[in-house]
Amino acid sequence: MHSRFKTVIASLLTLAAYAVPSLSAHAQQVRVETSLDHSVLLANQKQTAYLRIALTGFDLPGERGRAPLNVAIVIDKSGSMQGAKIEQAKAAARAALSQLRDDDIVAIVAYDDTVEVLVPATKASDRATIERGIARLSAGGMTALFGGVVKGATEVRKFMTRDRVNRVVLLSDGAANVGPASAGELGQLGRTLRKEGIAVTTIGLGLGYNEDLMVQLAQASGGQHVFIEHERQLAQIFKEGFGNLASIVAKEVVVKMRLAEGLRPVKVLGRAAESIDIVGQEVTVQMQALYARQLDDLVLEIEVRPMSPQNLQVATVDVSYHNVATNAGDKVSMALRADVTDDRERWSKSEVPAVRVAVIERIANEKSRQAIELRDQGHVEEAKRMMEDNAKALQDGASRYGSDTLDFLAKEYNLDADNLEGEQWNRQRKVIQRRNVQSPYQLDKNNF
Amino acid sequence: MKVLIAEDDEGIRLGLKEVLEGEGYTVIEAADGQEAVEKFKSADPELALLDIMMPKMNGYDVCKVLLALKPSLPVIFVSAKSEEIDRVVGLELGADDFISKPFGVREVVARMRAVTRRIFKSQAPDRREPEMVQVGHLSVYPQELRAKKGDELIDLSLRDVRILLLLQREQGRVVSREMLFNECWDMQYLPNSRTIDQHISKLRKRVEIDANEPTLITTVHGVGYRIE
Amino acid sequence: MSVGAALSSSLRLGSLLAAMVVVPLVAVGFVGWRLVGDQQELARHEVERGFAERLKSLDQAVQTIVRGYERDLARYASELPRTTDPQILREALARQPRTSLALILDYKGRLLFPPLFGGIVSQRELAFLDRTRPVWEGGLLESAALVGALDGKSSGPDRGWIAYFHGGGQHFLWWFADGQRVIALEVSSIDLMTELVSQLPDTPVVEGKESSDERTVLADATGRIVYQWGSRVPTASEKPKAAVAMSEPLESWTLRHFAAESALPGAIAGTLRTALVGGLAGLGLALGAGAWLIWRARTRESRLAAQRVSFVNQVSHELKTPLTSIRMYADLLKSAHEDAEVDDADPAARHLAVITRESDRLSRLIKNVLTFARGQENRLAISRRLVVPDEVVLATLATHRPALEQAKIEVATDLQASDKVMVDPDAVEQILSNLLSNVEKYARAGGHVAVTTRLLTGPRRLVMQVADCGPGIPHALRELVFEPFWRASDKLSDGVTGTGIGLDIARRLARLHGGDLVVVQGAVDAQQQTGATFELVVAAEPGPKDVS
Repeated sequence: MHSRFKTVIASLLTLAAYAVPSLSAHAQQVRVETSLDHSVLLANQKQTAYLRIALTGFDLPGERGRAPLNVAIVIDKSGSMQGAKIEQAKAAARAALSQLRDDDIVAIVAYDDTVEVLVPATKASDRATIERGIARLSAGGMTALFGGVVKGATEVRKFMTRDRVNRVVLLSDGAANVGPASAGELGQLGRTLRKEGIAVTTIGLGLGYNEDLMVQLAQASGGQHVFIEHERQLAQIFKEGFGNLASIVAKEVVVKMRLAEGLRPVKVLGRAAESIDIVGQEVTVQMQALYARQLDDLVLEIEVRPMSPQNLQVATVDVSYHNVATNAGDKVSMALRADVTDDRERWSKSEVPAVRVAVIERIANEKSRQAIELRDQGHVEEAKRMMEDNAKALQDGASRYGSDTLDFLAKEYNLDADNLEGEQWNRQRKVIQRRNVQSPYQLDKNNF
Repeated sequence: MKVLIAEDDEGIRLGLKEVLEGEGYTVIEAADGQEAVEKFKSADPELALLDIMMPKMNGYDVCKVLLALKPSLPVIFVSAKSEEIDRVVGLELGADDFISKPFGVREVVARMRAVTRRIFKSQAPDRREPEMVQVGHLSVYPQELRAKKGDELIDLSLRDVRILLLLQREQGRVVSREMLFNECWDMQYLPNSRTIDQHISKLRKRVEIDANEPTLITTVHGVGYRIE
Repeated sequence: MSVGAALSSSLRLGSLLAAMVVVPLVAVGFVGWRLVGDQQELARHEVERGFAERLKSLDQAVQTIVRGYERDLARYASELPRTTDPQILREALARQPRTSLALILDYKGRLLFPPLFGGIVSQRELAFLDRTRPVWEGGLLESAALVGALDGKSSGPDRGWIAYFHGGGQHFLWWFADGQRVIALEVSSIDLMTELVSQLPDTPVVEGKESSDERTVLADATGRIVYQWGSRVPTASEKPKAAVAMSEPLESWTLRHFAAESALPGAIAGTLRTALVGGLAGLGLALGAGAWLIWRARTRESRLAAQRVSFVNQVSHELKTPLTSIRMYADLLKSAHEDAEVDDADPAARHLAVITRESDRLSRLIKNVLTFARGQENRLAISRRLVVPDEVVLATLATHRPALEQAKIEVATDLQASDKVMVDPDAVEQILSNLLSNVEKYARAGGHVAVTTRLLTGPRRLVMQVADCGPGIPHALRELVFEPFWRASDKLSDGVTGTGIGLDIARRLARLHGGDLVVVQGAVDAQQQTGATFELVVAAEPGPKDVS
């Protein structure tokens, strides 16, 4: 705890020294922090640098400031949900309902072969109607996930206003088999919905769902993904998730970075490809919504051309978002400057731990995705080795920077390496996917 | 000769009985079809006279049964049913004749005699009566129940024939009434002497050249009769 | 009518009536069944057409959505800045909700955007160009580019859809030519699907039971189900009741409708068939009732006739039986009386004679009545036997003797039919008897009757004449006398007895015999008196005219 605090202060100070004021602290604004992993660049040398943009959600001024919700709960009622699962799903829906205020809009959509709108978009105050709809939930049939999400989105659209948090919360325990069912297609759906301003949070229940699909849908649409292993946990997590929904402070978050000449944007680490657009020097990243007091970031890998020593404006960063508290658009712009120096020692000392931690985590995240691919292709040993290397890198980072996060992640990745066979792998894969999507700073949270 | 009469009407039955017994037949009575069959089985008559409309079993059915028992049995139907079809049916069943009511006695007698002739003809040669017997001036044909008096052909009854044959057999001798009675009359029929006398008288009327002056059958007063 | 004839006639009637019932039933039933089948087919087709109509209207609804799409796209396309600066274009595209990728070609068909040639393209744009290569490289849009070109070279549609397959999926482009360039905007199929699905119906939620046993399925070009609604789960082999192909640009997409068999008018057919069967049953009942009524009417006639016949027979039997006894006992009395050699003047003899005579007469009358009844029924028949006609005549005369003596009528005979011929003796007897009865009734007291018989040849015939010296029969009445019930005098007070059926019977019998009985001009008798002369001519051999 102490070391962490120290690190944060250190990085803040460093940033303050070498960077154009990159802090914006407004009581009702998202806090944006931009930083390179080394606050100086080496001259006359090709190098890889990392740019990190950190966003922190502001505090919501109590209940009043909370954005009204407009959520459609889409529940899988296919055959596999029969029994305890569907009952727990009902309980979860009721738990969600308990977190809603009277002026929140809620809809409940259920799908198997076909889609049934059990509760059309209605004010949460109409508890009797909603309860009746929940009670009608019964399982059996196939899985028309696409239709379910679209119909859920249709319900959300009915009362969609800019000031609301507009979301579809999808609960599924199985793979889609009616309608578009591939991860790519569902990703496309997610993109389409994102354009409208509707995010889809996907809840995977049990070990039978298609995590790739759920992840893509969530990421493309800017929603969250949650893995719930046992239906017992449903109600609790729904309650937490819906509670957190209410704490969203910024939505439609777009980060635009324009890099200086000589700096080539390579890729944004560890993010869904759909939400990233690199054109020339410009990088546009669409981010998930920001929750109050929660931290989210992105890391951009940059290839630095050998250049002569100078003071460089590294990048201009524009973070635009819709401020839920003010129900208005916000834009935070800043520029990042850095020295280009020959001084190797100065360079090595200019390491920014926070960024390094983020970089390590992101690289591990990327490698984790590759490891999954290897394992999917059947190269179990290779995958294991990669995961173990990952874990090692994380461990090293944890030791070097005293990062609890990295320490925790190292343990997680070791666990991954141990669970590459059979049924365990099925479960572990879901764990990994979930983790890859989640912000590393909210590992203990269930955001919807 | 035994004759079975099956007739449910008592008047007609008794009347027929009287007529036939007068002819010299032994009559066995039956008042319905069933009784007819039973009596036939026990009495075995040579002839059956059947009414058609009888209770218990109609005449046609009785005829079938009787003919089944004795195929050569002569049957005469006596009936009020007089349509052609009834006659045809009766004859096709095997009856020899069909007498429709109402009939006269004469008709019955004639038919009976005709049938009897046929019966005689059908008997075995050794059992037959002689073909012709000369009785005085009378040529008697027993089988034909006829006699010839000169050119004249006379019908005779069965009894008549018996009487003549008896008298002829005892020619020259007196035949007492008792003997006549025994020979020519049935045990069932107990005539008094008057009946015998009446019969002889009637016979005379027919066979004698002059009935008032009998030359054939002479009376022996107090004793009997005789053929010279 | 003989029994055989009667049987065959009722058989004929029976089969006719049966046919009358069965044939219409079968005909109606067959036609009706077919009709119902056809009706059901028709109704099925109607319902299926109804489903198809519904699907078509769904397609129309989809078309409306597509048109809306097109309007939006047209607006975007026309609003796209007319610049070749890719960055501006990208920003403009990014602002549009519906699409983010586009191809822009100049009117010569050269690719302007994405700036593949001489510009930087993003990964996404590269992938896009890759999959749309056939479109911008293959000249698909070249002709489109010419449309509305400034020089007005060609005319035709200035906008349209292009659907292509890539990577196992279907992709759509919507192109728009504005005279200077062609813009092809990418419309993601998922986008389209999302739009469609959000507007298509969902499965209605109904308390308790399934809402309806139907399902509509929207399938894409590969036949994959995109979306469906309705609670019916079709079996693996079930065929849709209706299927329509959708309109552009989804022409390879289909809408299929599944419904339970019960949705189709099978139940209706069942009901119709039941109604048909019911109707047939009703018809059958009606026909059967009609046939039965006819049968009863006819058989009633027969039954009545039979009853009548049996009544007549019964009556005659009843009459004949006591008559037999009377007759027989009268005879017995007579013979006993004769045996007793009692005085001829004994009244008993006279009495017996009366009894005998009258019982004979009664017997004849009964016979006449029976014959008459049978004659009415056309059931009279003759049966020929080999007999000597003169003997029959003599016997008949003998029976009538007492009556004729009573009436003081002398009988003269001239009989020359002494050969055996085939005639019905009973018929001859009855004819002669009836004629003699008439003589007894109508001839003057103290008159005479002459009976003559002859046998003629070529063909063999028996001729019998009965001539009396009664009042005679006027020429005008010669035919009338033979009418049944006609009597010379109807007044009871005239003292004339008789029923008037004697001559009818006599003539009938004569005709049955292949002959006739007529009134002829009689010879004037010795006393210059003429009466009635009846002449009977009958065939003495069986002939074709015989009825037996």
